Amino acid sequence: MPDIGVEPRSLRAAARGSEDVAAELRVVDPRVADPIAEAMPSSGAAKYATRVSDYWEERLKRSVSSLDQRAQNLIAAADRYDGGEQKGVADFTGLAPGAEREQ
Amino acid sequence: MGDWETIAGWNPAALRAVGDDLAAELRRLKGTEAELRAAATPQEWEGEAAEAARRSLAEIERGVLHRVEEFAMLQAAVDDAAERLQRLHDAMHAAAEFARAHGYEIADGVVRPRPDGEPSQDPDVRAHLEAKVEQIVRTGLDIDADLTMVMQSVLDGKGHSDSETMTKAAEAGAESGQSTVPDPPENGTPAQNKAWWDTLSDSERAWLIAHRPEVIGNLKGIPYQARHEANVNRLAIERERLLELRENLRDWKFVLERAREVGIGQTISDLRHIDDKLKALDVLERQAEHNSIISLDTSGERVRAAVAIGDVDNADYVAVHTPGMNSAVEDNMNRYVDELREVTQYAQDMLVGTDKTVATVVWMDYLPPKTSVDEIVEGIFDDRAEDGAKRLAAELEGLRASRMDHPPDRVTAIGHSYGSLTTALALRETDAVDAFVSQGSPGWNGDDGLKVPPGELYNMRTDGDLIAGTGWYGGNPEHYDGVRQLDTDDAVTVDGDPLAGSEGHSGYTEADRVKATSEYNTAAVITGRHDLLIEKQPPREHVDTR
Repeated sequence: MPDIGVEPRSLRAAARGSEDVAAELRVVDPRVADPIAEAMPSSGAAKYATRVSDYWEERLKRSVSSLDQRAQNLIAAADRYDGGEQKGVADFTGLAPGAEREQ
Repeated sequence: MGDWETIAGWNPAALRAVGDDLAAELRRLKGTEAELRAAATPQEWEGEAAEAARRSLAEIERGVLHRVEEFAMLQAAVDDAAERLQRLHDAMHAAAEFARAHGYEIADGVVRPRPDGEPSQDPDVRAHLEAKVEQIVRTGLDIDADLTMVMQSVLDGKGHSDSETMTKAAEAGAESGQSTVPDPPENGTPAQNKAWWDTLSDSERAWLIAHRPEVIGNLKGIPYQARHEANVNRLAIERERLLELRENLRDWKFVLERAREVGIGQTISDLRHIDDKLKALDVLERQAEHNSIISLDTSGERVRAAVAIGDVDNADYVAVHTPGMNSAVEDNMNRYVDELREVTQYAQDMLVGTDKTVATVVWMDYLPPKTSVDEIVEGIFDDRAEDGAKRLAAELEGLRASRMDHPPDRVTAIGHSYGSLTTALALRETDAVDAFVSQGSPGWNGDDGLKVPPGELYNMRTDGDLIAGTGWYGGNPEHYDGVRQLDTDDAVTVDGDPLAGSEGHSGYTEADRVKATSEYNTAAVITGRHDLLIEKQPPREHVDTR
C-alpha cells in the first residue's frame, strides 16, 4: 500500500512549514520598485516600474495562495490518516501541478 | 523639457534608496529557504497524492527562486544606475561650473553665452563644453536604457538561470543586472573622450582598465594615470602575444599561412623585429616601476611608446620631448628618461618656494628613421616626421583636453634633431603648446605657420654639432626670424652658478649631474622663467685694427 508508513505528524509539520513560507512571502513588499518612477521621472525606467511591481505582486500572491492551499491539503490528509481513513490520495489527486507553473 | 533637464531631474539618492529597499526585500525572500525545507513533503509518504504534493512544492520553490533572481537583478541594476547617475550629476555640475567660469551657460542642453558674461574666445572651450553636454546626455539615456532593459527582462520572465539555491539565484541575478560599460565615442575627439570618461563611475573605469586596456592605453583626452594603468596591463598581454608569435614563427607552415594572411612583408618584419619588441617591453616594464607608460603601440615594425616623469595629470608645467633619428624604445628610452629627469629636476629647482610642479614626457610614439642601410634613405625625406607630427599633435590635443578643467600653466614642446622637425610639423597643426625648444636641428621649414605664441620659439646648437645647421629640412633655425637662440656654451646663471658647455649632436641633455647651459635653458623655458634665460651672444664682428 503506497500510503502506509506516513506519519500524520510529519504531514502537519510540512503544512506548518508551508504556512511559514506563506507568512514570510506576505511581508515581502512586491511594490518595492514603484519609487523608481519618482527617482527617474519621465524616463523609460519609470514607465516600467509599476509594471514590474504589478507583476511581482501577482506572482507573490499566487505563491502565497498555493502555499495556503498546500497547507490545507496537508492538514486534511493528516486528519484523514488520524481518523484511520486512507483517503489521503484524494486530497492531492487532481491537484493541478501546473497551478503555480512558472514560465 | 529636453534630455539635459530630464536627466538633471533624476535623483541618484532616491535611486540608491530603492536599491537598499530591494536588498531588504531580497533578504526576506532568501530567508524562506529554511521554511521551504521544513515544508517538504515527508519522504516516507508515497503514492499519487504524495507526488502531487511534491510537484506543487517544487513549483512554489521555483517561483520563489525566480523572484530571488529578479529582485537581485533589479537591485544590481538600480545600484549600478544610482552610482552612474551620481557620477553623471557630478559631471553636469562640473560642466555648469566650467561654463560659468568661461562666460557660458548650459540651458536645455545648449551651450550659449551667459547674458551677463563675456564668453571665452577660445574655440576649444566651447567645443569642450559641447562635447561634455553631448556625452552627458548620451550617458544619461544609456543609464535609463540599461535599467529599462533589466526591467523588461523581469517582465518577460525569460532567462532565469534555474539555480537550485537562493544564494546561487541571487548571484545569477546580480550578475545579469550589471550594466555593460559603454564604449568610448567612435573616432571621438579628445574632448569627446574626456567627456565620456568623466561620466563613468569608478568601478566602470576600473573595469575598463582591467578588461579593455587596449581601448584605454592610448585614448587621447582621458587621464594619463588611467592610460598608464591600462598600458601596464597591456605589457603582460603583449609579451605573451609576442612570445607566442615567436614560437609559432619557428613553424614554416605557420609562416606560410601568416604570409598569406598579412603579407610576406609583414611576416618578414615580424621575424626580424620580434626580439627587439620584446626588449622594448622589458624596458617599459622597468620604466613603469617609477614612471608612467602613457602610450604603447606594438603594431608597427618597432614598439612606439611614451614615458612620463612626474604627474602629467596635475603638474603646473608639462614638457613633451621628441627625440630624433636612431631613437628606438629598446635602445634609447632609458637614456632619454634619465636625461629628461635631470632637466625636470632643474626645472623643479627653479620653482623652489612655490607649490608648482613639473612633469615631462619622452615621446617616442613615432618611428624616426635609423641610419641603417634600409632606413637611411628615409631620413632624407620627412615622411616619418609627418606621420609622427600627426600623432604628436593628437597627443598634445589630448593633453589639452584632459587638462581642460585645470589647465597647466605652461606646456612646452622640445624636439631634438629629426624630432625638432617632427615637433615643428605638429605645431603647425595644433596650438596646444606655449613654447617650442629646438635642439640640434637640421631644420624645420622656418617659423611660418607655427601656432606658438610670439617670442616662444627657441633654438640651440652646440659646438661641434654637425647635424644642426645643415638645413636639410628647410634651412637653418639659427637664421629663422622670430626664433630666439639660446646659449649652450659655458655660462654663469644670474645667481652666479657656473654652467657647463655642451658639445656634439647628442650633448644637449646628459644624465651626468652636471648642470649644462643647454639643460638650464631648457628648464627655464619649461617653467616660463624668461628672466633666467641665457641667450646666445651674436658673434662679435671682427674689426681689423691694422
